[in-house]
Amino acid sequence: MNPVAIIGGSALVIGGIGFFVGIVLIWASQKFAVETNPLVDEVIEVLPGANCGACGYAGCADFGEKVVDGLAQIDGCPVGGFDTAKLIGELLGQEVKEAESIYPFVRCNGGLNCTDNIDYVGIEDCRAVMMTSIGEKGCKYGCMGRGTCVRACPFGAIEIGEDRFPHINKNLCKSCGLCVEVCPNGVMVMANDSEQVHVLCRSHDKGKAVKAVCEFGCIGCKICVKNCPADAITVTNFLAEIDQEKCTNCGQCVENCPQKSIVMRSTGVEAAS
Amino acid sequence: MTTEEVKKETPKKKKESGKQVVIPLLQHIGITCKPLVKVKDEVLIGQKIGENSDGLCAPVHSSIAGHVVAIEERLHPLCGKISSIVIESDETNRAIEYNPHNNPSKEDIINAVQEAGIVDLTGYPLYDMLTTYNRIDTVLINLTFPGDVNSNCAPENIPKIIEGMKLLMKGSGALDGAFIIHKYNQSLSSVIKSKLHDENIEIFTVKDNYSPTMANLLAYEITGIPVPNTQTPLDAGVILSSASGALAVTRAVNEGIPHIEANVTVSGAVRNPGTRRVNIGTSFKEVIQSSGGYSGEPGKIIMNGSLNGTAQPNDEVPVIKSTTEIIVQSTDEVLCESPGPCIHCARCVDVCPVNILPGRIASFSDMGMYDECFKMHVSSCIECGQCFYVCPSNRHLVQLIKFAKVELVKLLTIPDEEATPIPGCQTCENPCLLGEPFISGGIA
Amino acid sequence: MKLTVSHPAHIREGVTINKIMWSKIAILLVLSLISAVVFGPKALAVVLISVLAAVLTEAGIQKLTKQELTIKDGDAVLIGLIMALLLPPTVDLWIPVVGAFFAVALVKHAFGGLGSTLFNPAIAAWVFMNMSWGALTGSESIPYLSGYTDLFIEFGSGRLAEVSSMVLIIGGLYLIYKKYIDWRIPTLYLISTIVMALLIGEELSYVITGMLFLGIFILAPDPTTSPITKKGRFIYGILCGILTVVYGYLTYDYVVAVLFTVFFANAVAPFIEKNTFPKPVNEVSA
Repeated sequence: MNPVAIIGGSALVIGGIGFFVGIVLIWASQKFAVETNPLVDEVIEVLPGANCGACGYAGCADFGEKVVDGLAQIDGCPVGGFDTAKLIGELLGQEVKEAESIYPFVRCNGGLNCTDNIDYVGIEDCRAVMMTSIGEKGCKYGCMGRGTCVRACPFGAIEIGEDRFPHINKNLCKSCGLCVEVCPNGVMVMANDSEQVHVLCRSHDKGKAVKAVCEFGCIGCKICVKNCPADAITVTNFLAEIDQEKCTNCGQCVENCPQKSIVMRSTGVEAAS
Repeated sequence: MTTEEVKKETPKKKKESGKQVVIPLLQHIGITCKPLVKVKDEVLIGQKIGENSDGLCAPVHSSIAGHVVAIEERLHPLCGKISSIVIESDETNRAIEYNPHNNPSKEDIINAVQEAGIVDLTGYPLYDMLTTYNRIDTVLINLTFPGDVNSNCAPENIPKIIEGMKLLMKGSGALDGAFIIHKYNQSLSSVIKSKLHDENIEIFTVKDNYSPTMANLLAYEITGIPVPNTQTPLDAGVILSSASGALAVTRAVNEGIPHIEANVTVSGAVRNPGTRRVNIGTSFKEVIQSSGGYSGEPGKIIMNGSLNGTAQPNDEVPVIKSTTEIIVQSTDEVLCESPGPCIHCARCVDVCPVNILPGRIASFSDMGMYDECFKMHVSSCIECGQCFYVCPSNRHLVQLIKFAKVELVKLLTIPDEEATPIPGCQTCENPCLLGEPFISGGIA
Repeated sequence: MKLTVSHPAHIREGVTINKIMWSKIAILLVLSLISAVVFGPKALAVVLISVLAAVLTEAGIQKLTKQELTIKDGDAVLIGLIMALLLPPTVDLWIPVVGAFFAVALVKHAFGGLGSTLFNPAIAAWVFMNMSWGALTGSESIPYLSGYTDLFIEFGSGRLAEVSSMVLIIGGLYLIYKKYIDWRIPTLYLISTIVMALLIGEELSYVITGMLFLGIFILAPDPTTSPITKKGRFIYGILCGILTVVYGYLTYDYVVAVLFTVFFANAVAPFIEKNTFPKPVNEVSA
């Protein structure tokens, strides 16, 4: 026998078996289908199907059942967002209001600008880095860039860039908030897209200590407080906080900040990397 | 490094005293001492400067004469930042009046040990071992931990160690005592045999080296009474101490000197390695400088054993009561390979002294399946470091296991009083780095 | 001065995956050279093609899936080498190519790569080849141990691996001495095979073949596919011995018996492991 005939023959046999088994399976799935509430199936159909658990239920199927039973909120799926909520609303005959798109961002400007205390060798996880006697970074408030959020993200929307910071791909991000929950230092926060001005620092250390470890840390100098026309900024414990309800996005504080720790975020969807 | 090598390298010991010492108010398992002195106070050698009578606590004493410069948070070799008393020396040797006992009674011994603030290598205050339990049958002194043996078992110290053993037996009311020696350390066992004239004290030889965290296993090996990881050898009626503990007891009772000095062996990438007698609170940097300084660029400084010691963030950390060994690795020696996949070779299973499956637990921990880790008895791990030592794939087994323990504590939300086995310990919110198995019973 | 901080231990024994793999490869290379002496250069061609196919498959898959290339750890080479040694020298040269592709692509990488395989890839590929083209991969001769010289070099062997038991014995003892493989599985496998053969009344000359020693020292103690518990490895070794003799007794072919034995033993290894989890010594009995 020549090799071509042998390989061709085996392919034919395997393919035939596959075809036959496929037909049997299709027949069986129709014959022995389990009766369910068709509404639940329809709701599950419009859900994203990531089974991330961000809604607080065991998965999309569980959430779908709960929504139909009235136990869960219609807009309870943070992944699908408004579109999904609208579709579920149509199915269940309820009205849904649109909410603003909301994305996580990192409230730290350190990364490579922040000094390192030690050379850390071990598992790649921020929480594991915190188990060492003093942290890896000079600043104990900042982003450690070891990617706990990356591993927590069920959509692969976060990547650690070369600047040792998590970068959020807004095309993939579904605003589920798992990264905010898991961040051990709490530097990952959610913000509405319209809120543009942010203090990229969380350090409550005194100015001198901040300057020793970080180029861009907030030192609590209160220049921004004096410059803000809307009185939206307060400094507590050497850290400026912006009241987003009062903020008018005028940019005065951004221009005057000596440490460049207040920045204006660019809005809109960033290009997918 | 064996005992012989160290002795050859350093024929003489000399007493070192630094310009400034940092004495952490927590050098033991238990609660932090309250400072008894204020800034600018003058202190003498041996003066008590910190104490807390609210719970388990060993007082701390000044190791030099001088004045207090600051009371602030400083780096601690085991627990991050701990409030410490910084004392600057005035270059004198003025000491308090010591109160030696010539023929001590049981109460004298307990008082002397408590006042001297003696802390064993495990970090456990020694007086508590003498007083907590009514019935203590045996006093064991572990002479198998290489760091302890190298530092404290020089021939001239042997009579003091034997004396310390007798004092511990008298203080606890134990009838039997035993020295535990590694079977290959024939020289040490013959020296002890020649000095030992007491038929109640025996010498046991064992096959393995037991580090201080393996106390429960050692007690099981010698007495045959299994000690669960939620208990200490004391629950089996055994006091397990070390050469450094026994020496400190002898000094405290017979000479009245509190625990203000430690024998420290410096080894690795230093010019003149060897054993030195060092004041508690001296920084590692000064100890290393007195050993001739670094040879080459230092990459890692390890306290108490390269197998399960603690890597230090910098060389400013002070020597504490449980320091016996400082190992300096040069940058070439530091392990920094990235881990590969687990090939299930089971080498970690073969070496594990507590008979768990370290590789499997670490894999579950890596995947975030902490409940599976719990089912695989992750809390039994004593973090001895053997599995990481043999792993052909460079996996960070010990850290992954420790990580699983930390995450489990968060997940299981144990009531506070059960989560900390040490009554009243409020030192930090972090998992205890003093080697204590911090997951106690009651999680099921 | 910036110091490194990591968790203990701070030193290493120095055994690495690379060392384990390449020592095994070195032993099998010696075996391949002896087989080239016995069977002629065709044997060497089978080995070379098989190894090359395995390595290229691994490189291709890792390139396609954008993984890090891991040719250097020697696993693909070892798979190709073992698979070639399980074939007779008369085999058509396209068969090892298909086999190596099957082993590396479907048995190794489809299951998650190194360390995640359920079956030993080389053996699974051999089973696949044997099932598909039994006539083409069958051997023409079955070795028979007629004297001690046959342990050193066996001219009556049908497959490459059978040419020299001695190389495998010496190599296996070296692996055990260096702790590259566990001692439990080889010891128990050998003892249980001999005991079982004596119980059944089988002539040992048929049982003890080069393939048996390949199974004892290379195939059965393969780290990934054998149980990780100590007790489990005892049971696994005993099971291998029993299966070998039973299969060989029924089919009169103790060479193929070894291969099917390891294949079936691999299949039950997780089950053995699951039922032999050790009890920690410091755990309170609940």
